[in-house]
Amino acid sequence: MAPVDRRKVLIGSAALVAAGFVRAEEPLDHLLGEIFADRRPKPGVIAMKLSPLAENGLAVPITLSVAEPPANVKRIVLLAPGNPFPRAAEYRFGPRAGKAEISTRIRLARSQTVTAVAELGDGSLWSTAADITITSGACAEIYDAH
Amino acid sequence: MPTDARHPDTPETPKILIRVPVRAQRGDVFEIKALINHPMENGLRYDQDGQVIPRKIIHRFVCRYNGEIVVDCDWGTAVSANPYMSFFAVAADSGTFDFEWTDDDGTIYRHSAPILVA
Repeated sequence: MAPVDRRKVLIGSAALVAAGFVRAEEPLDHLLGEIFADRRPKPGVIAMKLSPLAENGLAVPITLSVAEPPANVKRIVLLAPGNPFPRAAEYRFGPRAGKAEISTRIRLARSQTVTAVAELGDGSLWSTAADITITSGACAEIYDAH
Repeated sequence: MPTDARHPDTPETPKILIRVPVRAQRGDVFEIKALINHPMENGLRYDQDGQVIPRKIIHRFVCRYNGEIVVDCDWGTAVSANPYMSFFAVAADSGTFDFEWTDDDGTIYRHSAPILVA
């Protein structure tokens, strides 16, 4: 790649933001509407473990757990509204699951509020959210580095 | 898997690391860890010629225990490279855990681990 002038990139991206070309965080409500139509979660039942601070967003550890037997959990939906593709993952549990709990590592493009929604067997929706600050987090940098 | 010129980082046979207990008592709940070597190319990066590197991620992960599902996951581009998952199973009978990762290109990477249940 040709050498990139950092200043030009910065000015360019500032201009894009000012011109409204770069969408800010996708509103959570819109996302929830896409997935759950007009149903909305209440807080509770599901818990999230996420560090409030990460040096970079490449591999952020996250744990999601639902205080219900796994047979009673239809799915857990993980949302990162600050990402270019906010629907991060969906987890379903089968008859051999021992707990409705998973741990994984996710990529976060920037500081944001990560949300998880649990849908129970009776169709009720429960959510939890956590803020995370990514300290070195230009989107381009994160998505260019491996 | 055929080597894809646009995805030179993707190994032909990804390295897979699994942690499943060797034995367990019936009814025991235990943790399973699964890691696979994969770049999880999100389709937003450019190569040296300024061309977008097409998206190529593992978009589904399933773990079965003697054919019955433990977890079944849909993954998006927000899942980190070299995706790692930890989850819990409950011991029933001796048998096999089968792990299945499905790549965007249709390839399915498989791995299995035995368990002895007393």
